[in-house]
Amino acid sequence: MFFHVQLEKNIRLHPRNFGPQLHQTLKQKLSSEVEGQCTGRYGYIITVTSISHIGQGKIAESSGYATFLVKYRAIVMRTFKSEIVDAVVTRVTKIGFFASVGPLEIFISRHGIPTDMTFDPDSSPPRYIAEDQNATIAQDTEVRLKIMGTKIEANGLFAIGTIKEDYLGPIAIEQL
Amino acid sequence: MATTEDASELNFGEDFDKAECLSCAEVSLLLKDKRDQMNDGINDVFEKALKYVNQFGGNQNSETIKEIRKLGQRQQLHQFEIASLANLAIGDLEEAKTLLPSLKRYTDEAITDMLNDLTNLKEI
Repeated sequence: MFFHVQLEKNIRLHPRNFGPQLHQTLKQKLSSEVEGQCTGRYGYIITVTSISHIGQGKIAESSGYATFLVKYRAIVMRTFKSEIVDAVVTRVTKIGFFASVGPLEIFISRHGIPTDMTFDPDSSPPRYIAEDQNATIAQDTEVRLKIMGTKIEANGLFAIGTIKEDYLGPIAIEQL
Repeated sequence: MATTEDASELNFGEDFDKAECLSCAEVSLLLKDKRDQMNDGINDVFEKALKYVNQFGGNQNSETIKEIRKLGQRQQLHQFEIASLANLAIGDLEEAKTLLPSLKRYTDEAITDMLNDLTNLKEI
């Protein structure tokens, strides 16, 4: 789910930036420091939408740098347990498949795929196909899945999902 | 991270308890605006998010988005439920109750009415 949240961040500025452009510089620095970042607490910070408050700068006596507490609103994305999301399949392997919700990757293991779907490595691209041939999952297929859990890794968040429940699985074209 | 967080119980933990949820269509509008103002420095996370929200919410205009929000507020739906209903094309009552179990606090009639209203709004 995407959220609009209020966040804050301490921004350090070199004394050469002190001047009429100070606020502009702070905004740019904030954007470059937080946009695209991922934290375990708030998930992916997609973009800063507005600055709500810039605190008074405090100068550090040793370096001369000033630190400003900037309060801002941002669009963030993270998933919660039991959340239902539509995702796009990125990679299909024999142990399961990967799908993405924007920047977030989700892994759906073999245990999360209905037992009547089998891995078909010979097709190109590789896919999972239902016994009755009615449903397939390959790269770029849109699937509806349920989030089982999310974990924080060094380079971002990583979620585990399932499609082995009612109303989950590949999204039929006519539903769109 | 607290382990009690669970979307099916509308439990999002302290940080997200009061946070405003955005549907894909809403994010799509906001990000498109933002991209037009940005000349450089569009990062990978932004690109991926924009591509995703366009794919799953790009077909709703600002009028539809507003009406869906109004409908949600009228029915006193939780923010998360409003955004989920806007995002997921949900066909019938059983599907709605299965995918969004928190809706079960409403009567079957009320849920059916909401789904019908949503379908009408999305078709405009």
